[in-house]
Amino acid sequence: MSTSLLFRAIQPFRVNKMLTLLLLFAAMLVFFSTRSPYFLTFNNFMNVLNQMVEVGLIAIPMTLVIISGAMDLSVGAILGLSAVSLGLAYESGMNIWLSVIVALLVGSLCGSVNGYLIARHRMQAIIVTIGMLVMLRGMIYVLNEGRPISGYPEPFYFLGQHAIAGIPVNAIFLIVMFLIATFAMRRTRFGTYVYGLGNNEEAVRYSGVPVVRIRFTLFVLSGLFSAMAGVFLVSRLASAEATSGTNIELDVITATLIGGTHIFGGRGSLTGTFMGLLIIVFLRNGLNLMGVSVLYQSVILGILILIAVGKQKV
Amino acid sequence: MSQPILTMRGISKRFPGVKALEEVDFELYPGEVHALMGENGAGKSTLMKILSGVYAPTEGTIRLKGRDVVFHNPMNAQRQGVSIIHQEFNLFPNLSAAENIYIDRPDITGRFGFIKWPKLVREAQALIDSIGGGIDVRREVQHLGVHSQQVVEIAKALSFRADVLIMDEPSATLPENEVQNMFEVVRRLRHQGVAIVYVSHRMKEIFEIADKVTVLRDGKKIDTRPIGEVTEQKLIRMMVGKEVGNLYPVRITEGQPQQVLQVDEMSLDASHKVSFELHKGEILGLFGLVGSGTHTVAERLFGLRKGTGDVYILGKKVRIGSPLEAISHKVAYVPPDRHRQGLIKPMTICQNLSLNLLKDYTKGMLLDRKRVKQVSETYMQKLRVKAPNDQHIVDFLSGGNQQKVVLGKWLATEPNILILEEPTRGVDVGAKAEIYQIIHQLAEGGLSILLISSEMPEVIGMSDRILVMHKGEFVHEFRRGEVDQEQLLKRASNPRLHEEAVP
Repeated sequence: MSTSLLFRAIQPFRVNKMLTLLLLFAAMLVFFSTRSPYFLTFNNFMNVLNQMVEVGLIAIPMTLVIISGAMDLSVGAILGLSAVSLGLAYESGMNIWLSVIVALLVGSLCGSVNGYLIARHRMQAIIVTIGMLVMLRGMIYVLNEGRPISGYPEPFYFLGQHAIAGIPVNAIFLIVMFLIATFAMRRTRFGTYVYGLGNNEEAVRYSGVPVVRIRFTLFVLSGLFSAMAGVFLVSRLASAEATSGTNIELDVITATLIGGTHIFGGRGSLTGTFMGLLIIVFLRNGLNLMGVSVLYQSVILGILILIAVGKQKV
Repeated sequence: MSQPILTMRGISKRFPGVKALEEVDFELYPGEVHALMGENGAGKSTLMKILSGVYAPTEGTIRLKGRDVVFHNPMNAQRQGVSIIHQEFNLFPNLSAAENIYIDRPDITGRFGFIKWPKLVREAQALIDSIGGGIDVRREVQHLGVHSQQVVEIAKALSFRADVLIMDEPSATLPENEVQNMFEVVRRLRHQGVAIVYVSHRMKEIFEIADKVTVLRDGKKIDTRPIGEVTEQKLIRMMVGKEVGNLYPVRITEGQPQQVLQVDEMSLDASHKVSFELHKGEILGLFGLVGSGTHTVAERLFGLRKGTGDVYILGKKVRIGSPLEAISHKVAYVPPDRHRQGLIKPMTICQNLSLNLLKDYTKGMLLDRKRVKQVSETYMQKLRVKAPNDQHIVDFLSGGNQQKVVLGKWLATEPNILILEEPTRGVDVGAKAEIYQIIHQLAEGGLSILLISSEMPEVIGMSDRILVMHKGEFVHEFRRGEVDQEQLLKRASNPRLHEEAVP
């Protein structure tokens, strides 16, 4: 009797979480539109969408990785390496689309190294990916000696600088990816396994589920999506730089956590992450338009994380 | 002796929406071991928590040594002479026994907060010796055996000059052969005049150690009786509230001649190998003390651990290198710890029931949700899992119902061989009888069952054949009806003993 009572008490809370995020987002929109006449315009919105794509793409696998009870801190470095690989491949005379494929392969390869160490050898995800982060950053400078690589053919800029019916191509891609991923999480067994891993890995293993393969896949996906983000970034900025993607993991994890994904795994959703993403990018944008210094923006974002995640207890 | 040391009168405890205890009276005399029994949810733990100061009663009074008392918190209860030993030990493994015993005693530090080491060790040793522990208190707790750790726990409780000692399932964490040592300590304490509340599910222990027994049911006290006036059947009836026929169903077939599983020289570790066979519709019991290797047998058969040796299923040689392969050969395994290995507790009944078969429920890339729903509802009904629907979170189910979900999840694979390890651990008598009934029906229906359990009555009551394990080897085989608990334990603890006795 007491248990079903507890159950009923928890159920609406879950819905409320998403509602809270929506309300917070709406309140932000209202607030900023009173502060800046430019905020609530189509152009501004599309601009923001265009800029959130890299963080958004990586946030998809990051959400799954965190739900599964792990963490990937190497995404920014993988993004950088993939971007630079793309530039180098093109520079060496390769077709631009082949170069894109090279970049995606490089990202997936880095992800599979993470996955191999973490899934197969059961090493700590945080440690492995920090090691990877440091190593790859170094590798990037070795590869291109820190100079930006630019001058790509016009069709390549379609990815990051063009729009269809006024909506940026890359934003459309991001939204499609979110929809596919959400669908896959709900309708394939992979989704159940990911939640299961985060809640009780041992029980999942005892159920005959290939735990190693799933963990491995998650990190490969993480690498692949980081590489995709790298490709879109190069297309958007028309330049591949050694510093590409530096600290992007913090934005990605912030969006995921604000979206309600539990840092210890087991709970969370892609819809939540998408809301978290919208909240942080529009917050930044609004504060920019208000002329708030970047330094203060960090302070505000930090406070937001503390409020959002402070409720997560062990 | 005729004056009770502790009297609880009209104790009620209400939580929002629930009456956990109603008008319970409880009396405790010095120098008695008083068993407290009841099914899960009967109110035992609430009563203990009130007694040890964790909860305050909604109504009712507590008199201790002739004075009305109020316990503000567990520390306060300890100071007044009531200590509790929890099922899980609360010890610091990296500190010495002496430090553990006196960890929260202010009088052990001298001026400037320095610890008086000689005094600490001397007093701790004296305390341990007084209960016959035979432990060097300077040793770190992590290097002590489980029984010794429990002795340290008891000593810690006694260090407050406890008049009343509550022991919550003290034998649950002990290996079978250490239980007698624990009883020795309990008897010594009784002799010293300590009043002991002994909480346990194990009937045999109650009859061996307790002087009186109080039974709770649905938050009410049913009765308090001297132990000599009750029988096991009577106690079960008091706890359940109705007649529970025989706990173990009567077998009709006892297995068929057809061999289903043959294990040949299967390695458990570098130096131990086992061979055995299992027949169609047979319940084969596997019994051994902690560390005897029964768990490893299950792990090997289910592909959770690798090794050498041949396994034949229905006459065909098979390779089982992973749980997935085991499932494909129609082997199912209900693991011993449902919380850690059996269930994903924060997820739904449906998700848990289908987790191991999701692969079969996939059409193309997508889950066949209708089929998942159909299977989960079928097995919820079959096993009579009590929950509003299959979207209920498993964590909120009672132990018995959780165990039924684990069982259902594996029956859904339609196995030929079912390995059950501790299938009734931590479930109440009612659910136990139900689970036994299910196992019985499965075997009668032709399923071959390997039953691994540390509960001797269960192994003896359910199995057609019993293999006894000792240090990684099968040392004896009993047939149904050939063995009682004493013999079984003797075989399991010292296989040589018998050989010498045989002329």
